[in-house]
Amino acid sequence: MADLVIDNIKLSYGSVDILKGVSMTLEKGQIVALLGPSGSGKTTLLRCVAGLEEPYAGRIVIAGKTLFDGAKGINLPPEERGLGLVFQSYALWPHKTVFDNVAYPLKLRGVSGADVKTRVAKALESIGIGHLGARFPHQLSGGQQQRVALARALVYEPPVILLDEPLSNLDAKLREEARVWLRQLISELGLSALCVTHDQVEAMAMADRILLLNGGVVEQQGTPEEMYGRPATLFAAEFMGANNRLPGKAVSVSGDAATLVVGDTRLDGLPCGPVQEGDNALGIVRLEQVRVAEGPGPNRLRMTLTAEMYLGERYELLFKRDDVTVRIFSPTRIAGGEHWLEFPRSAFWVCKA
Amino acid sequence: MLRFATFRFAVLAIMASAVIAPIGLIIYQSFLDGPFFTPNVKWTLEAYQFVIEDDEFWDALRTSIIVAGGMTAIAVPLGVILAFLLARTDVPGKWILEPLVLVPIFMSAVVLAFGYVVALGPVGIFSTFVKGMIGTVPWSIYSVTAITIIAGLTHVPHVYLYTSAALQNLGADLEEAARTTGASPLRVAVTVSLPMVTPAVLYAAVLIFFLGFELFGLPLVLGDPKGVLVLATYLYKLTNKLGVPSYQLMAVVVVAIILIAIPLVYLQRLLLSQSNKYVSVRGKAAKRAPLRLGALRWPAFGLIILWFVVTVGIPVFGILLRSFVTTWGEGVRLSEVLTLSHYRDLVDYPNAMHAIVNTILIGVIGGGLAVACYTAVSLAMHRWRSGWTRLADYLVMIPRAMPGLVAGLAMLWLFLFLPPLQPLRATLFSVWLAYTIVWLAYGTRLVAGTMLQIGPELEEAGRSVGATAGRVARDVTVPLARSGMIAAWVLIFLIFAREYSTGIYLLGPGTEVIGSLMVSLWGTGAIDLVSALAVINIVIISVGLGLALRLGVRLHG
Repeated sequence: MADLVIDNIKLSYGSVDILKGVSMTLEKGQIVALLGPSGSGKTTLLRCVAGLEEPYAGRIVIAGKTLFDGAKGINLPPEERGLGLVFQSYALWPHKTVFDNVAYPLKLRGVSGADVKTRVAKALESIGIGHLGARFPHQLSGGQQQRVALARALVYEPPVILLDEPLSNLDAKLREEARVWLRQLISELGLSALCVTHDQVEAMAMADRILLLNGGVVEQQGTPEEMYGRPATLFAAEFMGANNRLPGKAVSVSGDAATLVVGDTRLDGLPCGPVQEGDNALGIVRLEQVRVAEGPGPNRLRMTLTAEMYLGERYELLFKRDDVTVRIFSPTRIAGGEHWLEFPRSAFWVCKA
Repeated sequence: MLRFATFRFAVLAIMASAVIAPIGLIIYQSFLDGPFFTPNVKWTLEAYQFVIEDDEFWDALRTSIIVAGGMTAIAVPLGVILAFLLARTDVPGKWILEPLVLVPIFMSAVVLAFGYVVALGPVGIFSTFVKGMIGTVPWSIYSVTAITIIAGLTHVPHVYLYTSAALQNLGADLEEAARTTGASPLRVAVTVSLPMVTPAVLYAAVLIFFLGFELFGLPLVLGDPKGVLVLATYLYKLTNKLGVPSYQLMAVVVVAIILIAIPLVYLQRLLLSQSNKYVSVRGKAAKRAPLRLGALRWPAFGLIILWFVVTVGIPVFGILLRSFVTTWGEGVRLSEVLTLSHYRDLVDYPNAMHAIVNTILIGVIGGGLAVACYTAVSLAMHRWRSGWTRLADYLVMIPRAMPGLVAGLAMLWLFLFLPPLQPLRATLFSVWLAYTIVWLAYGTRLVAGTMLQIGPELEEAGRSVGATAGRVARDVTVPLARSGMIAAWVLIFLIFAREYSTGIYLLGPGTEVIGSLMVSLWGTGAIDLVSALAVINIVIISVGLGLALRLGVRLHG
């Protein structure tokens, strides 16, 4: 059974529409990432689920319990929703110790003093900060604060936890560790989680499903593999990875095949989004999919090497021809001059420009 | 359980009645032909006709405009210069100058006025000294000019506050950008900094002009002897004009004062929101190197000290000296007239002792209770996404349009009008209520400002883990605003201890406070007692200021 159902949620600030009808489901034990650029409405959607923003239409149901229903005028206040929310800034109360921060939700639920102690201790222990109970938030590092925020959201065992950019306040090194740790913790505890992020790598690493939002509508949703390997629109294709853009003209579009003419070269690929014959189009291909070929052949373009950058584990090479620029990854340096680059048919998407 | 929305509406309703009842009563009274409590009172416009035909009213209005305009013209440039010197240059002794500049705000205007009379009056301490040297006193303290100059000098801190706050909010990068494109420091000040703080200066100018209409203590002490009236003193004198209590005439004057004040208050709101727009374009507030004044450092320091000596030093010295001598005049030798008898007389004068105790009570306990009220109002309006908050905004604004004298009068009438309140009229409660309402806007802004600094997510976190809005207010908002509330308490203490005009109409057995008692005693010519009381008032204020500095309270809300 779906743990969380969001059905056609619409929200506006004054005359500005922020969410224009967003629907999604979250299955029990899953992590769903809400991904999108800033202003796409992903945080607003999370806050709607938490009850901190009020949509004007739609439905939000958790485990059979209606939290919001625009048509029936149901809108439970945040405190009656029983969800766990981890804020981007962690929002730890500076005047309470770590213990008191985590104990507060239990006290609100009338849990007896002794029970509070054991349950808080258990919660802190399970996320590895059992020894920090007496400290105040300002005495903790960013990573520790994040754990306390998580403990506070988990201690009353909510059916779904909501995470708002949980990793964005950590520095780069710590972020990768925290990502692994968070993913493990959520699956170990069997939690259902909805997680907002603007970082597609983070979304793919952490989530079972990704909901890509753009301008208040769902652009595409699916597993990370589907999202990365088979984008449905130009926006999805460009947002999910590092890409090359080859401007040209679409010729012969049919079902699952499309051809792009760049200069005088025909490149075969897959159609992406509503592209038609004769459209000005863009060929999109991930950097890691382009390879240097021995000589001429189908789906190959002759280009000149103009720059190379050493990235540590590999090189990034820059090729040019006329107004077309292509970046590729290469394990080794290659000689300067002209080369043939191959764009694999199955990873080359032709999108309407 | 009390729902938070219920609390919000309850606070709004209580505030609305506390604000609207007095003003409503005044408007009602202004259309009657006699005091509202007399039998057979009839509706009429006669009171309006009387006031409009009274030349003295128009004279007072004209004088008010002259004084308000003149003091604005003096206070604004001086305040801007002071703000620029202290916020942007390397003028020496900043650590002492910065708190010093704010002192006039917390000095009672009547105390300063008395001080000027005993120091610079016809037989004042400095006047006799000057006369002994050159044979004449080349100034007159009892004149519109003197009132305007003194009011201008004492209101410099208001301009200073808003301008220096704006200057400090201005990102250093904006000025540095101008420097790197080749502008000299002075040029940056004139072409970049000054235009950016113009909205704040404009706001301060309107505020000063508005405060000019509220002036009461200075014109009462310095204008009255020569028959110079401003609106507030005209109102005060009206009491005896017809021999009988002319409530309806007073009501009409109050209506006139409020009608002048409301557009000014509204203009201030408008300018404030305007200047906030400027704040949003600020760059990064980094530490910046102050502008080097070079040889002008000490002259600049001297200018600020000179202003302070003239504004506070001379009157305070005058009143202090006067409280320790039996008499003063030409040819008096200090060693022969020194005495402590005024203070001894004070101890033997029960009203004075009551006034001292009451002033401390109303400052400490009343201040605390007032802050509790302001906290309730702030909490009720805190992050309330509703049109009702606009109503609350306007309600808070109404008492701003009532000078203290008027609010005290309105409160007196209210206590006479409502039978259940009558027993409380002769108690300190009436004075406290009037003070609390007069300072509603100021106090609420102090407390609400502190609450707005709490990140909204700290409160949202409380809601999301299961706390109702009321619980969040109790467990998160109030504890986090506590230090701001204590600061507000200290500031309200200072203001309540300084207050004089609000208590004047409420003055009676049981409601004496130092401020209003001084005004009343001054009228009887008891200058010995007044000077001793004024010194005690200064001491109380100084203790409060010391406490504020000790606690690190920012003296500007």
